[in-house]
Amino acid sequence: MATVEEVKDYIFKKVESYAGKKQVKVPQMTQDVIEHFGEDNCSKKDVKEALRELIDDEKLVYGYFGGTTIELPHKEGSAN
Amino acid sequence: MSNTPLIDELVKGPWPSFIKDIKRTAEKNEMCKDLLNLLEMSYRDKKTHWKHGGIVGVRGYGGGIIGRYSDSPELYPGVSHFHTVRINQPAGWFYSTSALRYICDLWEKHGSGLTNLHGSTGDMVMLGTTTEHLEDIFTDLSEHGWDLGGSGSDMRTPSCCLGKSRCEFACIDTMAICHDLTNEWQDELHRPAFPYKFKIKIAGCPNDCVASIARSDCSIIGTWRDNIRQDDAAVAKYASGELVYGARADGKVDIKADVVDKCPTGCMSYEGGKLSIDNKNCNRCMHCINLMPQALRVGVDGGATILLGAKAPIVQGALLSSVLVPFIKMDPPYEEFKELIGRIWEFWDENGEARERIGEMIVRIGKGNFVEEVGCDPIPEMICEPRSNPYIFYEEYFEEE
Amino acid sequence: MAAPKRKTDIGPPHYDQMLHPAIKANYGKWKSHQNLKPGVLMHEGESGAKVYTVRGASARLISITTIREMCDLADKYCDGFLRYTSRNNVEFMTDKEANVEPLIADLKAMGVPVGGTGSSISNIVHTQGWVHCHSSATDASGVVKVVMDELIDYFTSMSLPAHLRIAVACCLNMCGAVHCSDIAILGIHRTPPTIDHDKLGNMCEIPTTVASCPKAAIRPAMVEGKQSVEVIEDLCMYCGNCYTVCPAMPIANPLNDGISIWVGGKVSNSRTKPMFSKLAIPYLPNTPPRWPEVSDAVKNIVEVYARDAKKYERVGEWINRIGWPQFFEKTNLEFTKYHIDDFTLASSTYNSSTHIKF
Repeated sequence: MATVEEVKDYIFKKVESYAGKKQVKVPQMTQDVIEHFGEDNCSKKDVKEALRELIDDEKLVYGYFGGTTIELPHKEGSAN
Repeated sequence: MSNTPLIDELVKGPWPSFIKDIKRTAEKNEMCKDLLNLLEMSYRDKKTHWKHGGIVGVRGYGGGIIGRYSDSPELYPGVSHFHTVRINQPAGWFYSTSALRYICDLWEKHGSGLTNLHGSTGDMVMLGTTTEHLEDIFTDLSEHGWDLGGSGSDMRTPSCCLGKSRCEFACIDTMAICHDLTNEWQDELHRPAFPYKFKIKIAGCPNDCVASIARSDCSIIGTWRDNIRQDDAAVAKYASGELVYGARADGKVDIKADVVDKCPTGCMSYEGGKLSIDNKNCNRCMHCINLMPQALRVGVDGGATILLGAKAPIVQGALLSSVLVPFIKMDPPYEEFKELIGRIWEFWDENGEARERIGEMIVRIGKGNFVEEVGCDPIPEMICEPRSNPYIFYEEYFEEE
Repeated sequence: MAAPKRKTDIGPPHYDQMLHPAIKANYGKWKSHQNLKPGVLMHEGESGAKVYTVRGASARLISITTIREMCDLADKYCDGFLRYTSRNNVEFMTDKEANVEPLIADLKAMGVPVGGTGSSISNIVHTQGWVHCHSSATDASGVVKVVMDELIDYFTSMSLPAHLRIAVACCLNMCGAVHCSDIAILGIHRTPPTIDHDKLGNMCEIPTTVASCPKAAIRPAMVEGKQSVEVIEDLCMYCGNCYTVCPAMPIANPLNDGISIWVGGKVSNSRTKPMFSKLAIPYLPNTPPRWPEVSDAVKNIVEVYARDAKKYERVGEWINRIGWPQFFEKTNLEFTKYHIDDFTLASSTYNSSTHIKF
C-alpha cells in the first residue's frame, strides 16, 4: 500500500514537472496516480485525501482554464 | 455635466434601473464609482473591459470565487480587481430580513455593495471584491452559518423551485431535497474533481419553473403515478363562470374548448356536465390542472422523473435533458437516487473527456451503452422513437460449435 | 506549517429559518391557488388558511441599498420575510389581506412594477454582460432595461395568449441558458480572436492557450521571430475560451459583435414538450445605450404573437400551428440562408414533405 505521503509526493512532483507546460485536471491526475502505484495499492479515495491535504496546506492550488486544474501556487491570475 | 452620458440614458424609463441603483450606492462606495466609469467606456467602445482571472479562492476550496480584473487598472483603480463571491442560497430563495441584512452589512464592509439576486445557477452572487478580503469574507460567512457555492469542474450549487412551501402542484418536497443533496455533497461542491461542471435542479412538477430540463445536467422533475384528483363541484363552478382561470385577463373557462380539446393525449371528455379523465393515457402535461387548479389536482403518489444532460451550446451544441428514470420515489434519505448519481459520477469520472458535460458524453458513447453502464434497463420511455438507421453494433454472435 | 483548521463545508442556512410563519404552517398542505390580479396570488391551504403573494420586478443586478429597502417593506408588511423567484422577481408574502394594497402602493412608490404572473411577460433572466464578464459580446442588464421599458405593460397585465418568457445571454456560452425561451436575445461574436503577437509570448503560456480551445483551432506558431500562436479560423466558434486564459487574444470586436433573436422555446411540459428556441433574426447591430433595433424587433414579435396566437398557445406552439413561412411573413422578418441549420443533425430540420401552405 502506498502511504498518503508517497501519494502526495508523487502528485506534487507531477504538477511541478507540468508547470508552464500542461494544465492538469483532477480526473487525469487520479488515473495517473492509480496507474503509477497500481490499483491494489492506491484507491480513488486515497488520491482524494492526498489532494485535499496538499491543497489545505497550500502546497498546490486550484486553477481554472475552462475547467478546474491543479497547479503550483503563483502570482494572482492575470492581474498583471 | 455627467461623465457617464451614455449609461445615464438607462436611468430613464419605467423599468427598475440598475444604473440608478449603482449610482446611489456609489455615493458611499468607490468601487461602484469606477464600475460606472468602466461601464461607460464599454458603452462607448462597444466592447467589454474585463479580463478573466481564475486563480483566486479561499483556502481549501476550488469553487465559489470567480477572479475578475479590468483591462484598464490605471484609469479606474477602484475596479482593477473585482472578484465575484458566490454564496450558497437557502433552498427556494426564501430569506428572513435579518439574514438578508447581515449579507448586506457584510458586502458593505468587504465588497462593492452590488449583487445579483440571483445567479443563473441559483447562488447569491456578490459582485466585486479584492483578493485580500476573501478569507475574511469566508470566515465571517461561516461564523454566521453560511457557505460558498460552486464554480469550476464541481457539482454546482443545486437549486429548486419553492415546491411544497407554497405550491399545491409540487409532487416532491423540492426544498428538502435541495438542502439535503447540497449538504450530502459538500465535498463535490467545494473541491472540483469532475471532468467538468455538473448542475442539479429540482422542479416540483412538470411546469418546471426552475427550467431544470434546459439548464441542469441532472433534472429532477416531480410527477405522480396515480390519478388526477378531481372535484366535480368545482368543475361545475368553472363551467358556470363562478370560478375563472385567473392567470388571464379574460379567464372564463370553456371546458370543452379550453381543457378537453387542448389535452395533448385526448384522454379527457366532457359530456352532460361530467368531466372524465382516462388517467392511464394522461402524460402529466399539467395543462388541465394549470387551468382549473381548484377543480383538478396532481395525484397523491408523488415522485420524480430523473432526466440527464441539459447544457448550453458550447461545445457540441445545446441539449435538453432526457429521461433516465421515469419514476423514482424521493423520500428522505433519498438513498436510491444518491446511489444512482454515485454510479453516474463514477462512470463519467472514468470516461468523460476533459471539459465534456455528461450530456455530451452520453451522445458520444451512445445512450444505450450509458444506461447499461450505470445499471439501468433500456426502456422506451427514454426515447422519442427507436432508431430508423440499421447501423447496429451487435455485441453478441453465434459461433460455430 | 499547516494553517489552523477552519470551519468549512457547513452548507447553506436551513430554509426553515427563512419562512414566514404562515408558509411554515401550511408547508405541504396547500390545496389550490388563484391569480387575483397581475402580480397578486392567493394560496389556500387544506385548513382554509390563506396567504397572499405580491410579486414585484427587480433588475437582478441590485445593490444593498435596494435590498435593504425591500427588507424594510418585508418588515412592515410581511413579518420580516421575503423571497426571490427563479426569474429574479421579488415576492412578498402575508396572511393579512389588508396588507396587500398598501404594500403594492409602497412598491409603486419605490419604482417597483407589480406583475409578472399568469399570461404576462415576466422578468427577463439574463447574464452579466459588460458589467462583469470578459467574454460578453454585448451588455445584458442594459438590453433587459430597454426591452422591459418597451414591454412593461405586458408585465403589469395578463393580456397575452399565454406566458411569454424572454431571456438575454451576452454570448454563446449562455450562462443564462436562453436556448429554451419564447424569445431569446443572444449576444454574438462573429469573428475569431485577434492576436497580439508582440505581447502573447510574455503574457500567456502557449501550451495552456493551445489547450484552451475546445475545437483544437489554436496552434503554436513563430510569427516574425516571436513565439506565438495561430488560429484556424474555419474552426473557431467564438466561445472566448482562449481569451479567458490569454488576454493577448481578445475576442471582442466592436465592429462585428451584435445581437441575434431566437423564438419559440419553452421548458414547461404543458400541452407540448419542451422546445428549443429557433433563429428569427441572425444579426442586429450592437447599439448602446438603448439598442432601439433590438427593442423594436422584440416588440414586433410580441405584438404579432399577441394578435395572432390562440388562447393558451405559447410562441412555439403558435409558430408550429401556423408554420414558419407564415411566421416570417406575419412578422415581416427576412428569411436568409443563415436560418438553415448546418451543424450536427441539420438534416432533421429540412422539410421532407409536401406540407406547404399557399
